[in-house]
Formats: sequence, C-alpha cells, structure tokens
Amino acid sequence: MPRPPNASRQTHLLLAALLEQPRSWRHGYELAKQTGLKSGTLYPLLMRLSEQGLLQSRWTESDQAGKPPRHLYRPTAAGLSLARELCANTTADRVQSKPLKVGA
Amino acid sequence: MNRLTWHRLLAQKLLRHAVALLPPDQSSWAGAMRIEIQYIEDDREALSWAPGSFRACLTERLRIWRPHISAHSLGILWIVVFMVSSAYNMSIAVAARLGYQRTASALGWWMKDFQYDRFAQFADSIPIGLFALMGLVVLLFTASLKLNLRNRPAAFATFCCALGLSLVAWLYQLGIPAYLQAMSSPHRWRIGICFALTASVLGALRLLGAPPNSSIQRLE
Repeated sequence: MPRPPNASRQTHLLLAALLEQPRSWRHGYELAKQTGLKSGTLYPLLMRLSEQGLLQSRWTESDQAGKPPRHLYRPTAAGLSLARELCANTTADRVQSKPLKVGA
Repeated sequence: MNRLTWHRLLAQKLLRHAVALLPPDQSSWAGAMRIEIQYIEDDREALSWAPGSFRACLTERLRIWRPHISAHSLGILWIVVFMVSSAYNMSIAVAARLGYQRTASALGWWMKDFQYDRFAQFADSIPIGLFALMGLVVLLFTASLKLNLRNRPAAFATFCCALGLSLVAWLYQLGIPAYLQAMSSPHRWRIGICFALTASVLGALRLLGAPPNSSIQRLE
C-alpha cells in the first residue's frame, strides 16, 4: 500500500515546528536546530513542501553587517491546515494507543 | 581580519560543489544552503552542516534526473559495463605483462585454474587504435555526465556518441579471436553478474532519487 503524502516523521516534525510560530519567517538553521533534522533531510523537505504550495519562502536582508541576504520560510494557509490536521491526528493516535488501565 | 579555519574552508568548498549540482531553476535553494552556513558561528558545526547540504543537492539532482535515468538506463548500463570490464581486463593484462604475477593472480582468483593470462593474450592482440577508441569512450561518457549535471543540451549528443563508439569498439573486439577465447562460455556468467550488479546500482540510484511524496496532494 503506498504511503500517504507528507506522512514521514520528519515532515511531521517540520510542520509541527512551523506551526509553533505560524506567522513568523524562519531560517533553515533555526528549523534544523528546533527539529533536530540534519540539513540533508531538512532542505529536501522544504523544497518538497514549497513545490506543493505548503510553504512560502523569501529572501531578506541581513541585520548583521557584511552578511548576505538570507532565505526564510513560512507555512502557507494550506500548509498550516495540513500541519494542524497532522498534529491533531498524531494526538488522537497517541490517545488511542494508550493502554487502558484496568481496575485503577 | 579573522582567518578562516580549515573546518570552514572545507565546508565552503564542499558547498560550492554542492550548489553546482542543482539546475538553474533551483538556484535559490542552492543559494539558501550556501548562505546559511555563513550564519553558523561554530566552525565545526558549519562543517557538519555542509555534507548534509551536499546530500540534499545530490538527492534533488537525482530526483530531477530520474526520468532521464529511466530513458537512458540501458545505454548507461551498457557503457558502464563496457568501461568496467575493459578496465578490469586491462588491469589483469598490465599486471601480468609488468611481472606483477601475484597482483594478476589476485585479480583473477575466481577464474578456473587462475587463467588470467588469457586477458594478457587478449590485450596483446588489441591494436593501439582500439585502445584509443576505448579511451575516447571513457572521455565522452565522463563529459556527458558532467554536461548532464550542468543541464547542458549537448549532454545527450555526447552520450549518444559514447554509446555508439562503445558499440563499435565491442564489435571490433568480437572480431579478435583472443577476445572470444577470453570470454569463453565457462566464464560468461560473470558478464551476467556484472550486468546485474550495475543494474542494481542504477536501480538503487533511482530509488534514492525518488521523491518522498510521489502523489502530491494539495489541500484547498
């Protein structure tokens, strides 16, 4: 059976991180530190989400002198609804998978 | 002025090569990865960031390349097997002729009675022109790979030239009795193994390059 899109644990982690500050623009290094994902995993995910219209990106001037503009990311409305949906599903799964306490 | 440490220099060098892998329409991502490293204060952390970015660029490159791989896979398979088997045969022949019998014997350990000298006979009977042709095939194939990575339209023409010339070289070899002797029936299975190994490497590359979300589901 094919795996549903955006079902990987890494995607969940990234979307959950983006959901924490949905309105603010985040850079790759910050997202990598927050999610614990390596750059080799993070950037392909960012590219894929961007292709799917779930993420928007932009360049912004650096506030540090002599540093080049930086690429920033923020979830789109579709990205946010997907992130909320996935987080809700994950929470529901956790509740369901909790063993029932008998005689407690 | 602060001197760059070797960690950072190495990381920057690695990223410079990594971003060259991505096609121009992905250049903003390539730039993003390259610039991000400048904001990482710790040099060792920057060095650990670079291989990941390199892998990301390579994965992306392979994903884009996937349709081309499927279209050209047979040709690539043929050329790779041709080059690898030629290099192998030549290594045995050169080792035998230079008197490194132990090396030649080690390379041909799997053959019945260590009959590696058959490759030496075969190499002796190859005219210099055929060696030059084989060298040209290797050069053209390497050039086509490089051009393909840079998305140049000449890549396909170069690849076709390499393929055509490798076929010519192979047909020429078929006319050499020593070649037929070297490739006699008890050892034909090794050609099959060679093809199977190459096919599995190409297959693995294809799988590695496959997009994680093949069916894109957009949420409205």
